[in-house]
Amino acid sequence: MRGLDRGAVFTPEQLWALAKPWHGKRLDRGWKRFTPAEAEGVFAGAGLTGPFWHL
Amino acid sequence: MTDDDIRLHLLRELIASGAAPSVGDTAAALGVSASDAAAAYDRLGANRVIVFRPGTRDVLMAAPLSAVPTPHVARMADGRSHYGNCVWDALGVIAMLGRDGDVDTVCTDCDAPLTLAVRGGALAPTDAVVHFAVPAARWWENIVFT
Repeated sequence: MRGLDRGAVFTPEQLWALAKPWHGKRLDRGWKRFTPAEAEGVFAGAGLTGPFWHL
Repeated sequence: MTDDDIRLHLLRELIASGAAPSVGDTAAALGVSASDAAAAYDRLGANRVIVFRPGTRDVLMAAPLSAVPTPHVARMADGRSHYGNCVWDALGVIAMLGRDGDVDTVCTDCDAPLTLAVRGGALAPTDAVVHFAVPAARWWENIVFT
């Protein structure tokens, strides 16, 4: 696909573990996008690590 | 008015109606000038909080919500439905709203309909598999494709 590698394969449970911290507080006043380091922490919290998840 | 007021207004309007308000509508709703609202839209776009149709200030995405129909629908327990930009975002709609819901999506491998159910804050067991094609560092090279 457009010169990309095979990508990342993981479970829906991991996707839900990603969705909760990523989007769960968007209706809170003062919400901020994660910094790259914070985002990598969220990925890791869902068990998603490795070069694919580096920012 | 802060950019956060604009961001929250966009999300609340998308939740309420499914449509993203124009700069003019937002300016009128929040009692600010159109130029101030436009500048806030631009900053939110530059900061990757919202995504416009190319060359416009028409909001296409205000994550996790999509302002246009997609194959990724969050169907909430209250009977309302909202479009997510992808299956991650559709689950994010459920997380953001903090209620039970289902994500109706489509298997990108076999085109079969697929439902992910969230009940009581937990994802119901499923044998589906998630595939991300684009590495995280490249998501914003073309966020619509991602």
